[in-house]
Amino acid sequence: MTNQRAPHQREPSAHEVFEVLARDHADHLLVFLRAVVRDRSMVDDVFQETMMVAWRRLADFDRTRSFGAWLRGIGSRVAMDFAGRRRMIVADPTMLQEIEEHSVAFDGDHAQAFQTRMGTLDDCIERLPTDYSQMVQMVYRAELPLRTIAVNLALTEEAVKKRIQRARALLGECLQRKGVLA
Amino acid sequence: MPTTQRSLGMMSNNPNQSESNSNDAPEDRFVDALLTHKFTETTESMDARINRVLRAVESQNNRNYSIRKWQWWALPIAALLAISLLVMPTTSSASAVVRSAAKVASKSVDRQYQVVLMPKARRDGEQPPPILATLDVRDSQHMRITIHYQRGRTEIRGRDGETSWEQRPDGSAVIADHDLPWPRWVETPDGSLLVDSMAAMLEDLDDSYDIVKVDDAEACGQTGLLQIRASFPTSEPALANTSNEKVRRNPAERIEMCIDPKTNEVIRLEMFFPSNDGPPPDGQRGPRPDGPRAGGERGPPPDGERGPPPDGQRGPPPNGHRGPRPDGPRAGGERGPPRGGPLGPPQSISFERTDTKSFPSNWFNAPANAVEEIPPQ
Repeated sequence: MTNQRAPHQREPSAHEVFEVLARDHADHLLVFLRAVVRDRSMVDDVFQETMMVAWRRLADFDRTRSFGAWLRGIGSRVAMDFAGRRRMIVADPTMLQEIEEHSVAFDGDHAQAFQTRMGTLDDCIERLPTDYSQMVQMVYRAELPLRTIAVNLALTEEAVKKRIQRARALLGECLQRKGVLA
Repeated sequence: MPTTQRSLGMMSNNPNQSESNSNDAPEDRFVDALLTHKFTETTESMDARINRVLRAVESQNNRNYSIRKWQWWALPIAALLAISLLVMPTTSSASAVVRSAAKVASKSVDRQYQVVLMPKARRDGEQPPPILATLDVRDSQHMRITIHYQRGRTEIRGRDGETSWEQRPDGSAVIADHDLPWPRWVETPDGSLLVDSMAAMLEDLDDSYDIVKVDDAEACGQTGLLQIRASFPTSEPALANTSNEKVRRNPAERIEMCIDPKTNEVIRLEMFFPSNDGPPPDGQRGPRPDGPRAGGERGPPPDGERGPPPDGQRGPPPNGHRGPRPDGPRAGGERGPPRGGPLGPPQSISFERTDTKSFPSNWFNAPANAVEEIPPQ
């Protein structure tokens, strides 16, 4: 066994390396940024800029460490910078740290692992009591306004908010039990 | 397990915020983000995101080696982008507007700007009065600035295409070395004026600045003009990739421009400088091991470069005369660092276009009484 490359093999270019890494970590980065930023219009810009900064700094990446964590570190700073320019507050350092802890627990550091963990989320959704899984479907899949949901279910908007929050709490507990959330 | 509950959310009533109304517990936010991702993103949408990034990377690489050529042939494209900015504001199109504005500003057209410099507060907390000036420009070789001091005194400096000249407050006038470069920073008793062609200032706003269209530029007010903000980003890469020379030329941390969308002319430009005083060690800038500086703080030009003088350290010479330089003349007419070393630039400088549209043909010439300056022995 030798480590020498065959003559026809070449080192992948930085661009190629970056494309592989970007594809592997895009989903996870986007989830992280959504948790930090939450403003939908800003998430897209922050994602794009984070990736661009990562590309420019790729040579600085320490390959012995997690690329996903490095990317999220850049994402945090970019998010803060964007929020500052819009005079918004996204999260304080403690909040960022705790979101990062959840990300680390969820981080498989490659795309396949991310999809596996999303499968765990599917399992947890299936285990929700009907009222709550119905709420998840209406809010996240159908993206119905809370007011519409409230009217259809003969609930107040406040009750709808509480129910969806409870659904998320149950999902969080389920994901923790399965070891994919801090 | 983190269970902190805080009220740190985005601004309320934000239509872009998730309607799911996640609370401010990190875990709740994270699960909300997972659910949003699960139900809104598809393989195709993620591919599209990545492809957008890769196209931008490709574009950046190409731009790095062909920027000069690009600027020539792509100007019509930049103009089109400027128009599209009105309906679809993006960072890149805002940059195109600035490039287009730089092109317009580089044309040989007479124009005048009112300049207001706000000096930094002195160390004792006293705020010096603003310095007022009028900057007349025909092109980068024909400029004339009239600096209005207190008690009605004025000082005029000009460049006529071949020589630079100065008319002092006492009325005497001198012609400097013919190859004396136009001083970008004009020293005054109360501070320094950044004086340059609008085109040169705009050309400094390249990739090292984040250029975006905004709706709330302090400099523009409710004018209906296109409002562009260039911010020096606080990110490590931006700091690392910015040359010291560029920072010396233009150390502003934020520049706000009000641009006429029809003509791409800069109607008003205001530069805001960082509040910190000390220059970075040996004038070098680079990535900071502890991450970006808060607020994008940046030091003033390093020692040995032309830069603003120390605030409050220079007083007007008796009778307005300048004495010989203590350190003798500079090769090529360069100014050395002000005595006592450089301090930070002023708080802000604004340039506002006036209605003046033409100057007499000899407006930029040296005064008739101007004499050749004899360097001190």
